[in-house]
Amino acid sequence: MADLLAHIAQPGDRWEVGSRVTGDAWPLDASWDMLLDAGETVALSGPAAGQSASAHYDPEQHALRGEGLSGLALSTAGGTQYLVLESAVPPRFRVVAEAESPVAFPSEVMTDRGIPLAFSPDDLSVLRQPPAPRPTFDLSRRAAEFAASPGFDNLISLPLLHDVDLYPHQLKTVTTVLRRFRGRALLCDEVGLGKTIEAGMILLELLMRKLARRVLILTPPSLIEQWRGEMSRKFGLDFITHDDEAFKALGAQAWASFDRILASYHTARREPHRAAIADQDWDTVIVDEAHHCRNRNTLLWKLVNALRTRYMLLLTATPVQNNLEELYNLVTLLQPGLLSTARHFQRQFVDRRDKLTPRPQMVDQLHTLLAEAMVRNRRSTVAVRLTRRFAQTLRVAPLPAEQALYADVTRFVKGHLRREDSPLTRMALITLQKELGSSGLAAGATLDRLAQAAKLPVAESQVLSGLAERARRQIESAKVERLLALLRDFPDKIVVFTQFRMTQAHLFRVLSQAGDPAALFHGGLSRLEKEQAIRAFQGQTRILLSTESGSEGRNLQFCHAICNFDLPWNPMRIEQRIGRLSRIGQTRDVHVFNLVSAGTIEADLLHLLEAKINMFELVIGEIEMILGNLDEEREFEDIIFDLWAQSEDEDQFGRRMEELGRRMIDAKQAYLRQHEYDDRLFGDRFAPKE
Amino acid sequence: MTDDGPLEKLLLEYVDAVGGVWQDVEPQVYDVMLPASVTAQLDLPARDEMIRIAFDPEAVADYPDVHLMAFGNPLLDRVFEHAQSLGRSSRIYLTGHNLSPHDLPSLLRRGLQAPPGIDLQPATPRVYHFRQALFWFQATFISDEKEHSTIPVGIDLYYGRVARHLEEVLQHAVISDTRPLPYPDAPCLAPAQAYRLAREEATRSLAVAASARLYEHQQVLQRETQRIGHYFDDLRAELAERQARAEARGEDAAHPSASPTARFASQRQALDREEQARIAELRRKMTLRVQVRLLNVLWVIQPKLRVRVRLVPRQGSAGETEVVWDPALQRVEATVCPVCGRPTLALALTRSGQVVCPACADAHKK
Repeated sequence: MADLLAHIAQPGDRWEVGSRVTGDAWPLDASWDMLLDAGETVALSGPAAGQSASAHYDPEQHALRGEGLSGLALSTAGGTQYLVLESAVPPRFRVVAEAESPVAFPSEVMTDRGIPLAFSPDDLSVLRQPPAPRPTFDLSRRAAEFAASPGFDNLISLPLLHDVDLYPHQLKTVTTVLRRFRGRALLCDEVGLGKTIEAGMILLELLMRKLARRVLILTPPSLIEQWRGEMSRKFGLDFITHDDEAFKALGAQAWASFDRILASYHTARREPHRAAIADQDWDTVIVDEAHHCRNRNTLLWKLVNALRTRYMLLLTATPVQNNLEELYNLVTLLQPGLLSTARHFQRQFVDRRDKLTPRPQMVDQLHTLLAEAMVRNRRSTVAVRLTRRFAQTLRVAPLPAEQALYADVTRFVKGHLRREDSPLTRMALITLQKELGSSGLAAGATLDRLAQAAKLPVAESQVLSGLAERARRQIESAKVERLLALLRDFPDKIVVFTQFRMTQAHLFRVLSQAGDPAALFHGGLSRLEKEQAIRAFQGQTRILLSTESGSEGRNLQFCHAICNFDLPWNPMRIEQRIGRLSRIGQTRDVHVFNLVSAGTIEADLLHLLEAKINMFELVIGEIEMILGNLDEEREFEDIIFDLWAQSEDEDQFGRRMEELGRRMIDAKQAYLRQHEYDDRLFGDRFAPKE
Repeated sequence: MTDDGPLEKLLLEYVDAVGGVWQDVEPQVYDVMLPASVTAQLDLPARDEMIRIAFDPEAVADYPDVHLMAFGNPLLDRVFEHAQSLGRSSRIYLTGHNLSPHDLPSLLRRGLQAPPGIDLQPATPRVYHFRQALFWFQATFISDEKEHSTIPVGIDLYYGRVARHLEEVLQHAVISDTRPLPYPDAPCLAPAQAYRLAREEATRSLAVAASARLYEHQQVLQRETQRIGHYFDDLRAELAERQARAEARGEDAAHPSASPTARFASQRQALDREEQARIAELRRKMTLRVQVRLLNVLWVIQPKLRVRVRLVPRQGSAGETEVVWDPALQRVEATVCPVCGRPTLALALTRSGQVVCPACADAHKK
């Protein structure tokens, strides 16, 4: 060893060996095994005169051990200290304590263009850290990469999206809004192209990069829960709404207390909320159905205009309806001055003969200005191609017992709806009527519960109990028989939707007994159970029995048929069911089988949707536009229920539904006219280019 | 459900690294037990020594107390911060190189340039451990957007200059965590001096990027400020017209307490205030700030050959210099001219026998 040491080392050579002298041991490293024998004595002399120590080499610890070692470690006045073994005459070593003088670095450096670069004062502490093992170092590097936010060219939200079919135009829209428009934009995509997804992704990018924390989303009342569900399911973002107990408990203070709030226009523009909202500093404000802000004399426009926010997104498929100035009003919310003043805008851009038409010689200039704030994607240009849908209605005549049950329950429900002093709530009665349209068994449980209602006269309670008993016994069902026939005739995989768990459970039993077992899917299953159900459906099981909430978030495009065993009264929910299959990834035309019992509300509703507005041939999202044009504040299912409740008989209900049908046709026509106008006004100019 | 992602792997490695244990409950859901010191670091309540974490938002419905490890979750941010702090610095040794290249003298003569008539006579090489460092700086550009940029800077601590190929060398290197052979250390800069050089180099890179962003911001600021100015000028002009019309109608006499003059003055002031506020907000948004911090430093120790080389002219005094052979890149490194301090592979001799670069030799002659 001494020979090897003599070969490698010459006087003056140095080895930095660190400064950790622990008690009587001085750790070196394993390579010293090659230079020193076990127990070999090494004489050490310190930097100061007279300092010396003797140590022997311990190969098991790869350390020098000896009394007096710690006395060789000198402390210095400051700076970095480390110890060096310097070979004098091998094998003698001299300990040298070296210190780096304290160094100060300016915290700020100016570039030649006068841009300050602020350096962290903690940098030097990194240099002083003892070296970590490589896996820990790699972990540190990767954690730094994860925590870093690249430029908006690289979207970091993508891995966190759930159940989102991303179209290329959506990605382009998101990067355009973030980079070019700096987070303030009017999103005017045609229906069905995913404005909500675009807004959600923009919001998620801002949140993840910590550019935004306080978020306010303003929507029509009917869309609050839809937004809440989408934000949670697809983006993992939880929002509180003004209807939540925790929010209400704080009153107007709540607007300052929560970071992510969903509110309806109606609430937001009323005092004391209006003042409280306008008093806050927001990071991001999103306004859905922003055409409600088209008129700058409205409270809503004034509220949005007063908001202090760094980023703002206005979502609407119809930015102009009556007057080109509506477009001015929307753009001015985002970038005041982009279209100058209202008067200038009118003079410069609006044709005096037609307020909806721009002056022909100014169209290009108008488009150029709008292109700084507006994105509009069109179906014809984004290459979204979905397969066709074929809808078929299977109308069944109920069994006499079913018909009688339906009539008796209906009479009971209507009777209570018309009473002002009924102890039964409207919500309970609506639910009962819906369940009845699904199956007697579904209605049975509700009938039982209502029979126990406090303040219900005994006689009526007994009536309800009797009805419940009949419902429970109504195992035979014409609709079920028709379903079995359909399943015999249709050999492929099929998703059977129902709103109610009792109906679902009954169908499950029936199908099992018929030798055609199904996989069950509903919101009460655990995550793993849901996965197992889908795997079974992908495998040998031909039928998936699903409720509404269960199927979201799952890829069902390998199937191309659905059966609506019962029909939600809200057409958008019907569309959502179909949309589970009719989406990107579906390679075959989608068959939709609608089962209805004659003489029920659902039968009339289906006639309205199918015969009047060809709902099943509409593009996804169009039904929502048509319903929006009805100019109703009530939910659609409330409209249906009210029409039915106020009708004396089937004929009167039928006439009222016809009237509603005419209104929906008008609404559809209005939507188509609007669509045509938007195409003429905007063309293809506003698709994002990047 | 999604497959194991990089975030999931990182989190589980973090748990291992801090001495915790984890057990999978179901795919993407784990029970994790952390040492008390770590739970304190992560600001978890003391009773939460065991926590449940999930990587799928759907799991929250099944396990209401689960911590969803998604971006934006403060717990995840604290984990990132703690994970970064665990190993900001490390040291590696490069091994596996040929430290006895065949006919090194010829290789050196080919790599160095000497004037005609000067013979290069390399001595026996000695192996030393040379130190380099790779610094990772993170720059954060903040205005109305926030962007991180990582700038790696390699520094050669022997020469005190930027090592441009260090990352490339590391990609192909055989790495050891311990010193395989006890070669002595070559002289090197102190860590703080190396940091200074790295910082200067990072500053040069960042200056370019910052300038580009500043230019873009200034363009936007100028355009938007002009636009806002015109907009409010127009609004003031319209207000003045309305005032003139109101005065022409004699409204002063009709409502002396709410005269057009007073009313319009107040509105004009409101416009002025709003304009100032919007411009101030715009300036705030378009102000560019750059924050820089050192994320990590990797000390890279590599054996190289130090060789004393004599330059022997036919006539005159011989000189001596020292060069370094890099076995990783298999080439001789540029040495440093003692006069101008610049790296050079071309050597020349002054009359007094000092080995310098040709430019300094020429200057010396004059």
